[in-house]
Amino acid sequence: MSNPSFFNIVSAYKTLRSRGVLGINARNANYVLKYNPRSKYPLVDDKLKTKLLAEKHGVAVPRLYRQLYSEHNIATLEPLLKNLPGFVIKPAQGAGGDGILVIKSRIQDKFRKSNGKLIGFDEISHHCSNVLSGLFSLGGHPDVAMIEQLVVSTDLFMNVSYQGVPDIRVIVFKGYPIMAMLRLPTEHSNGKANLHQGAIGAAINISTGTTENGVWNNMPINEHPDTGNIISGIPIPNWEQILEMSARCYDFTDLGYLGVDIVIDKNEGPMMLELNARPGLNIQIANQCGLSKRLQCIEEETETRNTEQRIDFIIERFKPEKLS
Amino acid sequence: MISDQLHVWLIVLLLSLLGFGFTMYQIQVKNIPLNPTDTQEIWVIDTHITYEGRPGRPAKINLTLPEFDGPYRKINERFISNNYGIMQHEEEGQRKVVWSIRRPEGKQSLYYRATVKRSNEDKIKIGETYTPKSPFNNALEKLAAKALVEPIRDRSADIETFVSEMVKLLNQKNNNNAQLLLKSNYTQKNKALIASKLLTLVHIPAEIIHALPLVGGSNVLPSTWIRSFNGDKWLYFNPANGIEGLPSNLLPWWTGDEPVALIKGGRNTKVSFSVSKHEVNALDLVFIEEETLYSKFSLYNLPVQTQHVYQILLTIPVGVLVILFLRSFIGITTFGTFTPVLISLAFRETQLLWGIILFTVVTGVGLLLRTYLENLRLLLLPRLGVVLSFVVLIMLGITLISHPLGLERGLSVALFPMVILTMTIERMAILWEERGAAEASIASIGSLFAASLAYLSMLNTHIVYMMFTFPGLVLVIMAIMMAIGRYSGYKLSEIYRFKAFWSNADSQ
Repeated sequence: MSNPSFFNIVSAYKTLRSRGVLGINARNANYVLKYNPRSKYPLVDDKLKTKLLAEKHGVAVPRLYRQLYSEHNIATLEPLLKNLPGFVIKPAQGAGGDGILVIKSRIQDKFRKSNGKLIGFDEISHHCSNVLSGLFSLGGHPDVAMIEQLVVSTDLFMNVSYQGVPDIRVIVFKGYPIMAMLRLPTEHSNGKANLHQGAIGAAINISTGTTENGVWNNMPINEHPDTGNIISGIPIPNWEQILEMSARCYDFTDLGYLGVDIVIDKNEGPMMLELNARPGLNIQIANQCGLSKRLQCIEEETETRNTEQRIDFIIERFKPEKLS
Repeated sequence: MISDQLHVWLIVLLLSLLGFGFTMYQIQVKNIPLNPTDTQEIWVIDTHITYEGRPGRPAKINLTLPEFDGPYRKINERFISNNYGIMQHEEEGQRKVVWSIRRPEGKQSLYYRATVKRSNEDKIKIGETYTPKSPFNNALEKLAAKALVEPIRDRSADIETFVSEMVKLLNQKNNNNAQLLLKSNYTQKNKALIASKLLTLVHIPAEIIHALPLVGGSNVLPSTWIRSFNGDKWLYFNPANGIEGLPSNLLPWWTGDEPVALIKGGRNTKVSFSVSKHEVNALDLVFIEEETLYSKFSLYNLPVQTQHVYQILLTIPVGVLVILFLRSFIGITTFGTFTPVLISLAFRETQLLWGIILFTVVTGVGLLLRTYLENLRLLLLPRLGVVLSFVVLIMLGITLISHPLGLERGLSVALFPMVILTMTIERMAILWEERGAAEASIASIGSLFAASLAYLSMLNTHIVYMMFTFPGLVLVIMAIMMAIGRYSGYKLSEIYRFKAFWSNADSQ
């Protein structure tokens, strides 16, 4: 069945449908276009706006040290960066994790990147000017550079990730977190937690917060390709808090179909990293479960609930023993 | 949700109905051919009238014009004469033209030229010329007519059988009644005349009609027929054998036993018909015909330059449709949605193979330069500027090299493809920066593939002709696009992407 003929394609199509797998066309037509008002997109496409809004609504985010609006501000960075042990520079409107520069530590006047390479301030300033000129932004228009707190990954995932910081992707539909996965960086993904760049996506049971098997480059996997450790069975700490954070993001964005990215800091716990109005569909492969049935289940809910009630509903509704 | 769905499908239906409706109107009513090389037969009929004028006396020539509501349609007609007054009028359901002159001198020549084509439908003109009056004056003739008609009445079921029986009897040389009525004059015309009188006698509306056979020749002779209106259509009978049906090559011309042309104030009148057959392009024919509002507002009346532009513009929806199909159903990755269409437009000027080579070489070299510039840490915009200027130089180089080698294609690099190529390099460079070389190559191969398919469909002469001749099809394409817009099924690429779901299900 590895090389499907036409008839197999038809049967594969039917299998996907019966297992409730959500395709891009259906996601765009039935969810993104229907539940995400275009006018709210800037809230999530601009990470600076997202961050400020999240802070206002009590959702924990990495601290913002400074934002750069123009080329001549770059020089003023040097004294600030000297006093920081580590930091992250990212474009406010970057897409897919591009243009993010992670500095882990300082050695004299050099900066150590997450992959261990040493760079000087001139390279940092070149990176900032690339960000400002819009190299990483969608559509290439001028952007803002954000310098923010370096998230130190919790030790929990040390055995199942390669460099970088693993993050948690939660799909939130009408304020209900319905599916989640843990994204683990690999050598292949250059330490980035982005699935299409080669990171692993491990399913998280939405009710219990324990990891299950995952997906790597679209194929199921149960051990980390670099470390060889089993990725399933890891309990995520503060799971309910994570669910609540994600659910709260719906309240301040009004985006009905939302992808929420969360990291767990060693010292400060879960923090919301960014939001996505068109979250990818690989989470289904990671969970070995289609999104459609869960989406329909929420669409049928008519009762209005506050954030806590929605979390309770989800934990109860999607208990492992209740899912077939 | 359901009303949304309904709304879309209603618009889809409306657009397709409008589009198809307009196209069917053009095909059915305006006879615009579906194939640009379709030809249609036309006949040019010249009626030549000669006579000698009487010195000092005015002359008036009254010519009956043919009927164009039967199997033939008029494309145009001309009246050619020298110093004659011309007036057209209608008389007893027949169109007539009257030429008049005050002092005709010597031998005079008049021409009537009609250009006709075959038509599939009969525009039925109700037979109104029939006026029942006692057809035979002579008592003996009356008796003979009755004797001839009575036995047929018993043997026939309808007009068809009645007429054919009657004509058969008239043709029997040993039938005394027939002989008496025809006065032993067995010409076609006389037989037809007597037959129509007999029919009048039994209250079947009938008349004699002269029809011109449309066969090429310089002296074509009209033949005489009997026709009867059965309340629904004209029935034509051959007076020689009573067989019903007018041969398809006959053009019905004038009725009654008078000649086609009546001349007052002339002598030695002669009327001759000549017919010639031509094949013309069916599309040209539409515009040869007399100017109508439709042909006035046709795209074919625009200046050739503008027509050319619209030939390209009207195929763009087809190209976009191809791209939409590839993206929505197959799931091919391209640079944006419309860049492939623009690339395929560029291919129009370079041809496909050369276009692909040019595209690959120019973008390849452009990207190499970009990678080199990356090390110099230039700002984004100046760097793109350098790349774009370099692309111009690459294209100039290709042209300069290919010209002396006789590769004329190299010269076809026009301004338009140049702009599109440089735009593509910019997009590709950005994708390269954002997503890496692998995704940039997948997208560029996808774009090239989509552009080639779009190019092939947009350049197909039949599609170009269809879109340009029937612009209503754009509405149909819009309807298809809207329908695609409601497609929420999987793309082919997603079936592979979600392989884990079905290959797993298979083993379970």
